[in-house]
Amino acid sequence: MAAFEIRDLSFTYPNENKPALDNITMSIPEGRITLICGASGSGKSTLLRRLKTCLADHGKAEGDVLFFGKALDDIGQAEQARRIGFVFQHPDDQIVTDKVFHELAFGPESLGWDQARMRLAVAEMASYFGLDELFEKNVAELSGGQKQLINLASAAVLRPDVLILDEPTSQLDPIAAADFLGTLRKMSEDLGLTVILTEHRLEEALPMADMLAVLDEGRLIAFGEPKKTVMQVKNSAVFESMPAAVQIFAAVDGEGDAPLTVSDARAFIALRARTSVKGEQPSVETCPETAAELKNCWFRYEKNAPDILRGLSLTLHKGEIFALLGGNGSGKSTTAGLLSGRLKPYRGKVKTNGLRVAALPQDPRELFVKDTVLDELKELNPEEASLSHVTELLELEGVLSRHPFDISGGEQQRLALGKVLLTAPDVLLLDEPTKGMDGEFKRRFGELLSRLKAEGKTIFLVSHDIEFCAQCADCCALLFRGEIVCRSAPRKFFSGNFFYTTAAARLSRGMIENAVLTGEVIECLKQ
Amino acid sequence: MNDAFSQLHPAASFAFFVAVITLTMLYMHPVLLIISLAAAAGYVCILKGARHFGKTLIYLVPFLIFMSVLNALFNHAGVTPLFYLSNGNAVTKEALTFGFYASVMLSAVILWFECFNVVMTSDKLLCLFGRLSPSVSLLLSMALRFVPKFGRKIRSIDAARAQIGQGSAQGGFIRRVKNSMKVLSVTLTWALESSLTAANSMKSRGYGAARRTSFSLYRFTVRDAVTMVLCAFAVGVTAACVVSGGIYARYYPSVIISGFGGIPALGMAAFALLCFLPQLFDAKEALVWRRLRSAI
Repeated sequence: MAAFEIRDLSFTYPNENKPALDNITMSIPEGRITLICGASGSGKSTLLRRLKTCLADHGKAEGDVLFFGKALDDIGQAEQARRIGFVFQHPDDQIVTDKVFHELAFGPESLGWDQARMRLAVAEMASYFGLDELFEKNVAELSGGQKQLINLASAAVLRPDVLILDEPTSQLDPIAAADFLGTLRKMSEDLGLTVILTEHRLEEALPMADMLAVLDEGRLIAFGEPKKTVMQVKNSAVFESMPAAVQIFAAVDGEGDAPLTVSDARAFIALRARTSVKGEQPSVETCPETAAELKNCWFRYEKNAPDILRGLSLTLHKGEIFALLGGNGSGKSTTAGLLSGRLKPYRGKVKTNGLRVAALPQDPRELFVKDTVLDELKELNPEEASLSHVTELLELEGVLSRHPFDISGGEQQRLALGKVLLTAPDVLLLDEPTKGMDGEFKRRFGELLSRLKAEGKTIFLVSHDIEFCAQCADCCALLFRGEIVCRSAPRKFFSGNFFYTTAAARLSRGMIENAVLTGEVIECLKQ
Repeated sequence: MNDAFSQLHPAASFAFFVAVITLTMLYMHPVLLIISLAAAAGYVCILKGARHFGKTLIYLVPFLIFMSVLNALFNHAGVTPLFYLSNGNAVTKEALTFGFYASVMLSAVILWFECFNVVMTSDKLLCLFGRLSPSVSLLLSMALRFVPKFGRKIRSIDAARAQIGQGSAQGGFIRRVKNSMKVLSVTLTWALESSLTAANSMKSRGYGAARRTSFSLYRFTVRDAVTMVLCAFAVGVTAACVVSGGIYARYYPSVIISGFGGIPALGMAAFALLCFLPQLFDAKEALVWRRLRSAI
């Protein structure tokens, strides 16, 4: 039986002409993982929210949603709350109470379960997720990944039939994201739970999905088994977000089922690879002039806390894009903090040679105070010339009269960047700028960085996003335990690494030397 | 700290603190006060370590002296003048005595509250209030989450805006005030945004769909019942002794303090039992451990 039967579902937001969902018909199978993907604004979240009455947006809806054969609207709130679990995007915003155990108990409390039943449900859940250590902790002490795990557990504690997750890993770093998806997959396998998931990070999510639905501007353009469905959407915007394996397969006109995992793709490449070496990357002329420099810096947050940076030295050359990579807690953000002057090292020197350094916050909304995008920009520099320059550079012309909170995530990021640029910085610090962006947004953001570089800005980038750094950085460095262990141009950096490298490099290792970008592998296969 | 008493059910711990603090404040008998002070000091040592108690003494002892002197300087009631101030007012023995015992009482209460703060964590208070009303308990728990979250967000926004020259510590006075207002305004917008998600997350987990209950980590056991009965018994005996006039203290106009007959001794013993209950619990537990270990 289908968990959800969606029939001719259309939905239009108030005061909009274009429907957000256009005549969608699909049947979501029970006990399977269904992955819904689509570019930003394609209606993924809107669709998910129609699957639970209390979350459905206001507007004009047509069509039917059946939950296990029964019209969803005829099912009571309490029953829906119990049977349909929902996990939202932001790990921090959806946590309601102060303690982990209280958060787990929130659902059972709301549904009025008695003590004995609550105790069992909470204990069971905590044991399954291995939360014993965290059980009595304050949620403020948890990492993003742990928080999202708590959110999953507190939805699962009600023993739902269906779990719906709206981009659950978009705010997590890659390792926490993989952990989260692993847990989700285990749950689905162990319990035969129906899972409906939207994601933009498809590299990990796609191989674990049983069904794939692709949305494009509110329409369902493909639905079915992932390895067949991916090839049907070759020409849509979402294809840029697909795993490297799929993109390579499509680009060289592979036939049959697409490989979804690295091992499948390697088998395919082994058959097709003709050239075995991708030429050396032409070394980029770096300007010898130094923009900023950290010399033997030591830093810790409190007197008795452990050192975060241990003798870190780093040189930023003028006009380069420098990417600093590294795991959680390796000191990446701290390094950016030192460069921005927000933090001071207790030993060592920070030199910025009188250049203006400005950082873009991780959450762009932290900079917004006005009612329109134009006013936001005018807040810093009302001069016509620089205003029009920035709007053109950042492609903000179309949204100047909109409210900053109503524009898309990518546009918000560009607006925040615009505000920072209007203060005329020489060095730009970006902390995880691609968090939550899909493939297309990332590409456009990369192009934007090159334009800024062409204007002579120096860009310092802190990121977990290996693919993005490989694509657009001039120089990559790996930070480990407060020290830089490796620093070189991206091609050399990533082709030399074994684990910590791009998907394309992992796919082609041993068969095509020196290829680190998806496009490069494609090029070599086509020759 | 491995204190058996603080592992009791919140209701039992709460009853103990109410009893001990009320009796300490109500009956200003020197012996009772000193018993209470000693017990409180001992319990602070168990909970936070002797070192912490040593630090507490640094402000507690001057406070004790200051209070006694202050009372003697400003309160001139009493029949036994010790000497006269330059304005002709008498400094009396009674006022000095009362001031001393009043400050002993205050010190004891302060120390008891210090214990209270360690033992009655927010979870325990929530569990107690949750019994009265699940909504109050939820409200408190949400407040405990959102207030610090606000603080962190304000600091983060301020740091972000400092990067574009709009931080709350940049520019002249007026500029700073303006910038701070903007930081607050962003925080408010953010709070509204994030509370939408929180509200959805609550609705999604059935908030308002049924009558709420309250989850509790604690179980009420025989031990807790015994503790509460013991407390009630000790309070009863002490109160009876006071009401019957067996334990009596008067400071003005002259100091009269009851002696140590049979009845007062009974009351004092009961009060001591109450005050030293935590130590008795720990002692019992230590004995059991020793016996268990020697059995191995």
